[in-house]
Amino acid sequence: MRKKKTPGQIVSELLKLIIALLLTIVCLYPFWHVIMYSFSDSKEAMSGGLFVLPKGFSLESWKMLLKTKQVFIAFGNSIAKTVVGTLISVVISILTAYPLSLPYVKGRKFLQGMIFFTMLFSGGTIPTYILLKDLHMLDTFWAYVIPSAMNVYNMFILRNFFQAIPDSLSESAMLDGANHVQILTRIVLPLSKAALATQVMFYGVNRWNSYMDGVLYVNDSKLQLLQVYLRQIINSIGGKQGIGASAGDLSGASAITEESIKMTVIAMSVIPVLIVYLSLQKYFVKGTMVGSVKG
Amino acid sequence: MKKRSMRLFALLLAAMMTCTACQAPAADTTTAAPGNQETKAPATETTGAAEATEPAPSWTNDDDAEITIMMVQSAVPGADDLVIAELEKRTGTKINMISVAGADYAVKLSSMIGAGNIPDIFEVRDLSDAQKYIDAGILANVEDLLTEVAPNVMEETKDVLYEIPVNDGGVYMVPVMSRSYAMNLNVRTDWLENLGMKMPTNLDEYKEMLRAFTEDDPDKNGEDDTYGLEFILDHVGQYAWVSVFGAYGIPAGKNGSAVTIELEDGTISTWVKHPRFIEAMTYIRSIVDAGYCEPDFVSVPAATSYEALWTGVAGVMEFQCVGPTNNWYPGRYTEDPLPTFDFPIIEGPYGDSGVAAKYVDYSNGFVFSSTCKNLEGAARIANYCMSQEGSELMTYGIEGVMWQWVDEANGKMEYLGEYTDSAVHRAAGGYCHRRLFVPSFHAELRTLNAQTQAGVQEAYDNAIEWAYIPYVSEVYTENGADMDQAIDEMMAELFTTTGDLQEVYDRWIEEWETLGGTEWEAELTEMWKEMNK
Amino acid sequence: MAKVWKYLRRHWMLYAMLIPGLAYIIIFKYIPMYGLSIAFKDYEGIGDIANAQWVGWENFTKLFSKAAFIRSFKNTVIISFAKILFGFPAPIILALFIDSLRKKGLKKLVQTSVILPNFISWVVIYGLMYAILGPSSGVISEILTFFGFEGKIPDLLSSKEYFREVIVGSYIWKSAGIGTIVYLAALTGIDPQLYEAAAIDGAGPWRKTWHISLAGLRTTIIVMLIFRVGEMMHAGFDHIYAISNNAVISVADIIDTYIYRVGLEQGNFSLATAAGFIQSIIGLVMVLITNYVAKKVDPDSGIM
Repeated sequence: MRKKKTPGQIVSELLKLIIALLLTIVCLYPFWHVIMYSFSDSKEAMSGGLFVLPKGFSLESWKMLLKTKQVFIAFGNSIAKTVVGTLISVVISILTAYPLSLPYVKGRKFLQGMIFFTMLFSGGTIPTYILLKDLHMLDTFWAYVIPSAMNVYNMFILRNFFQAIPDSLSESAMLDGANHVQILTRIVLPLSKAALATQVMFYGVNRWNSYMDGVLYVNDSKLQLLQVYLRQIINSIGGKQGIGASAGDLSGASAITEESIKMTVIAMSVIPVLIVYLSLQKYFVKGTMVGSVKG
Repeated sequence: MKKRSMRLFALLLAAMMTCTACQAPAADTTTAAPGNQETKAPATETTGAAEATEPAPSWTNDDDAEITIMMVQSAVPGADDLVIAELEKRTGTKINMISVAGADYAVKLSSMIGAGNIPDIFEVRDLSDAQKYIDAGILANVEDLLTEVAPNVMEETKDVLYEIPVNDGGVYMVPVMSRSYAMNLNVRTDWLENLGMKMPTNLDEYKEMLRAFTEDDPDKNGEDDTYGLEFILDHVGQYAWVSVFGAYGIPAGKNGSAVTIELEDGTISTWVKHPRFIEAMTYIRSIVDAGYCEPDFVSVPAATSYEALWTGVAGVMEFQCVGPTNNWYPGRYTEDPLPTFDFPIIEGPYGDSGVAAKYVDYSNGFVFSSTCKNLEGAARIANYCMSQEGSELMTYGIEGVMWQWVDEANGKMEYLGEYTDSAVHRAAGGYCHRRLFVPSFHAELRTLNAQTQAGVQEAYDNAIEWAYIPYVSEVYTENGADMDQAIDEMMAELFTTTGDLQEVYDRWIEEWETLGGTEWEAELTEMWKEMNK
Repeated sequence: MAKVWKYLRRHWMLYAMLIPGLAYIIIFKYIPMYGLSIAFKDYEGIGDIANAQWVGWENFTKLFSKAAFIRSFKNTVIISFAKILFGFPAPIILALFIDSLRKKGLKKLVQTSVILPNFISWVVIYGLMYAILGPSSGVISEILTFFGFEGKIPDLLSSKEYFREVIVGSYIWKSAGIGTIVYLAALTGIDPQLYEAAAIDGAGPWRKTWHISLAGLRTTIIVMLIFRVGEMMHAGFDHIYAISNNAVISVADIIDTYIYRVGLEQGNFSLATAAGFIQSIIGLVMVLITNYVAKKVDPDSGIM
């Protein structure tokens, strides 16, 4: 009975396949377009429209971006910021979310309210800048990781995942004499792989893409972030300002258009994210947690 | 939330507030510290005077102190910035250059100033900001200093320095002397030739040319794939249609408040209130409605719109000719043979022509912080940048290393070695800092090709004078954003409406007047009278 | 007292765990919060905020006296409401759909492609929207012309009638995919035996989705909704700024774009902070209401 599909099932499978492919095309194409544009000859790409393969294959815009030492310095800084920052953030989120997920913890509601409040109200740029100045964090690597050490939204998502883990597990461990740290590391975390993958993804992407901390808190070009570097490039050559300032000698010297650079910049910053997501995807498989929970 | 936790919550908040209140005075002393030093400066001066033999300067001159410069960047330098290193060498200073993307400049500067971390030299892009800084005492009066140390600056700026309203009781701001380029009407002469047409000289001929560019296959490729004028709605007044407005004697500007004119009754108002505005608009709509221009001018992205010129879809675009005939030439054009351009002057029914005059912008300049430990060094930097040699260094980099003259008299230069690659050139600081203390005849202007130089001059020469009022308008500070927005939305409606232009115009002008326009007119008229006394 | 002591001895580790997170929140979130006082002050961005003069509610009355602010307020509510109404369920439906795919390769492909739009900036997306929807040279008009359609298709990007639909549509397209991650992760926590048991009871795929998957996602959905309504008054600055133009701005101008014009461009910190304060207060009220309703329906849900 299981093997044989009814006509209705076949139709619904087919329908699903069509929808899935349509979704893929609609979501994949723009990204694909960006990548292909970045590998296209600026002049040929200008004639416009959408295209599936590069128009007049060319590596010029990639070469232009990758030629300078600064882009590698910035790339290294961004990697360091993302790795260190994500690590710190995930640890702090776990430590905060776990106690808040336990219904018997006293003061929990107040603490949650207090934390959530900061999601809605913030002091603004200038007071934060002054704080970092007083903490001597300006122009240091720590300005990238500490001021955004915990994201309230991510923490609450994690807390929610922890809450979904049946109490029976930790209760039995408690009876066996395990303390809270042991329960967290031996029972809760191993059961939360998907949740942790979510955290790594969210924090990682956030860290990787954020640039305002780089713009505001750091002047030293040895500490420059990739996103700041790329943003400055786009800002100085593209947009109303760049062209309005008559485009300068860049365009005089080379035929790479702002559009090409923009596409290359996007491709450059998305590809690392994509790699991380693909490697995390195996954790989003149904039923990973439940096997051990039975009982 | 329960009531109890709510109360706790409020308590905590209150605690936080008091906490920060306690902390505030502490922050105050740190920010005030440099100020104290400043008050010390006159003391050293008096002791210096007491010695009588060698009068010490009344400004700071610690050459070991790093001078922090902050400005909007033109390109992105790398960590090894040769140009700044060279500037340090030639001025005997230590420089920490912070260059920020234009979009981030305001927020970064305000954070630094809010925190008392004031850059020693920084760019001000708004007169009312400059006035605020002076009132707060964070800018240095550099009048004596510049007179003594920076003769180039004094010579370059002699006509305008004291015209700048904030330089009332001294010199606080050094203006950027380079005027922005005036607009040209860039017309494809190879298309004209293909069609056997002559350069238009009046509005009828202009319209006929745009029609021919649209309908008569000017590129002779046998396809109906061209049109006359390229423009986008966002650029109306700033670039687009300025020659047509000019032909009606109207000096057009970026937005309602950018250009001010004197009306017949002596009132100063926005250029949009020029009596011939509707007449000009009617002519413009006749071209738009006939389809002789970019069909999607409302929604086309700016970058895509430029491509229409580069790929030979459009034959006319209003823009500073530095783009079409110099910087984009030949790199950007996809056709073979390359297009050729020239810049006609279009005369209107009343004999007017040209575009809005470009004046030195009094609201854009560089200021010096009163906390600067080496004001003398800062003045040397200003002095050097305002020389021809300095302008060349800041624009093209180190002469003999990064570039050299081929024919200096005619402004021909070439890049050297690896610096022919613009990415390498910029990473070494070339072009990145070109906006620092720009003199009027700056390196870029000097090195434009002959046709472009002539075009730039032509646009400057065919200028329609208007009532430039450099003073800070209080009404504008309060309501300017809303007023400008009303004019922008009026333009959008005038370009798209199927109804009566006059009705649309009257409705929006009334709106503009109630938003503060009337008060603004009164304020400006008063200022204008004061200026022309 | 003894009871408290006993409780603490048993659970002190839990409180120790909270220290880093709370220290962070207090130092980096609460200490700078004095900046909110700018909303009630005349602060020009120079020197100490504490020294700036108090002006009471002046900044607020000034804001509400401006017709453009009222317009942006209305637009924000309408656009945000539409974004929540149509945009909030989108990632849930998408996640359930991805979850229902059996073939592993296809599942992975869809799961990966849907998150990609999130990483492309609005400026570039607008360029693509124009390339597709542009009335004179867009892909749609070319296709229609190919099939013999004559005349001009309506320009969605410049017409007031359709522009809000364009906003909501492009928003869903860009954000629904990334939103699936949380739901997909939450779905991994559902016991597969529940599905098997339901199958034995003869439940079809729809009933399984409704009674097991959606029920399992319920608390996650509620938390996400609470966060979503909390930022209700922020209707997407980058989005609107990149895709709107002056022909449609009257239906698209939101508080954030308005504040950008009057606040940042004119250095008006007090007005900008006051507007932010209004946005936060409304967000807070919306969150409290949603949280209250959620707890009425299901005491285990909600965030406080």
